Amino acid sequence: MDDRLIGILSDALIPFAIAALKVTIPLALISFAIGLVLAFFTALARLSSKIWLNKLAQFYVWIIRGTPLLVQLFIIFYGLPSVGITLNAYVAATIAFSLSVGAYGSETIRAAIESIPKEQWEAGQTIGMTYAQIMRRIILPQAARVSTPPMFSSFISLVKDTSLAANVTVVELFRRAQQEAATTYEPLWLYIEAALIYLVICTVLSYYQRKTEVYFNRFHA
Amino acid sequence: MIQVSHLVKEFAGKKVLDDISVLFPSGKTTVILGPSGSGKTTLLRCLNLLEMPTAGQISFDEIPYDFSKAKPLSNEQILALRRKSGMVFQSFNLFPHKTAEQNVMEGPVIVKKKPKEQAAEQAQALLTKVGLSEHVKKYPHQLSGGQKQRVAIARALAMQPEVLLFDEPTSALDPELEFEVLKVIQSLSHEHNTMIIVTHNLDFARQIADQIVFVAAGKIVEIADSNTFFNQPKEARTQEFLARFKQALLLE
Repeated sequence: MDDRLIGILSDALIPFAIAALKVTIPLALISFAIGLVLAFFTALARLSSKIWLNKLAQFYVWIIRGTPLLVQLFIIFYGLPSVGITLNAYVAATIAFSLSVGAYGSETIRAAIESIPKEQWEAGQTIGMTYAQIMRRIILPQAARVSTPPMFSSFISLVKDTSLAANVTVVELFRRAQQEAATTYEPLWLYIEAALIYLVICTVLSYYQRKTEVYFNRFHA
Repeated sequence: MIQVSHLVKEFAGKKVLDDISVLFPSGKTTVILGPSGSGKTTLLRCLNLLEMPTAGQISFDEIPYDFSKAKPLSNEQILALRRKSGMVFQSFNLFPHKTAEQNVMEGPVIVKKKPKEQAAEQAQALLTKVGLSEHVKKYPHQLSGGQKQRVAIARALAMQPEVLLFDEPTSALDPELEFEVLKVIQSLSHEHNTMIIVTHNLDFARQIADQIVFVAAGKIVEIADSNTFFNQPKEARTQEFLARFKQALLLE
């Protein structure tokens, strides 16, 4: 590696870090937070005895999981303006990512809730708790433990999927790397540099996953 | 006093309980005996609606709950009926993410809206009563089976129910651990709590029961006091059941 290349890579580091901190990370955090809420209520809808609610949730999950995220992103950003809905690129990306986390996450949460033995429900019922009380105080805390590893996997996937937003004019980390590569003609090293930044973010998330698991395992042999 | 009248429970068209009528007197201990699959656990679970009866009536202190009507019980009615009884399960069913103390406090704090300090005091007292004053802050996975079951008994007692239901409370325990749980149940019986116990332990039944209800094939075969039941059973089916039990004793 020569001095010129080292110069290019170190010059790119600051703009890459800024793009990660100002765009990639907030985009992932906000989308995940919204997606988590969506996932939770979709899971409850799937577990509901109300048929229409159940069907609605199933339909949503079916559409989102059955079509590519990139195509959804294009429909929302490039497609919707032709029916009069023009969205800011960041908003469009946030919507697409949140919907994705909501659909996949709802299946994780539903499975986690269903994995808690029915005896836990019965124990709550025998001390007179209502459905909502049992769900909130007995089932969800245990389901949270079960769903921690798969939900962190979703979060990590999302961090990397935010690079798709480069296709709808969001200047996040990957888009920034493309710009640098176009002007310096050093795609190999610049893309590796960008990849390493994603790796750092995901490593931090893995660290928090372990901490969360330790927290939940306090009550588990 | 709990009066069960003409209770029927069907699972997929099959009658598991067939026209059950029985009185559980207040302040007395009733033991329900019967061969496996006789419906004795189902009868117990019908009393707190973990199984919804298909027909018949259950009265708690003269307040009737009728299951023969077309209109099912409302959620409020179901909750009200459940809050009259406390249940101890064969497999303990403690909340694994809560300490012994938190398990006992859960009902009083969440259902009865008792202030936390008061609930904690009560939990401490109840756990001491069942011999677990040293284990208040432990999680269920740190306790033995016998200790878990005693926490479960304290959890049921914390709601001050009118009746305590025990569903084979020692069947999942080693013989050494069984004793410590039986001792607690016995002391509750001596305090004149209203209790209904399903068990396979005939020795224990003989010692503790004021009344024995013998169930077979979903029907009540015989209701008698403990002495009569074991020494002068009237029904042939009861005699056969007890004879088999005596044979099993000879093996030991």
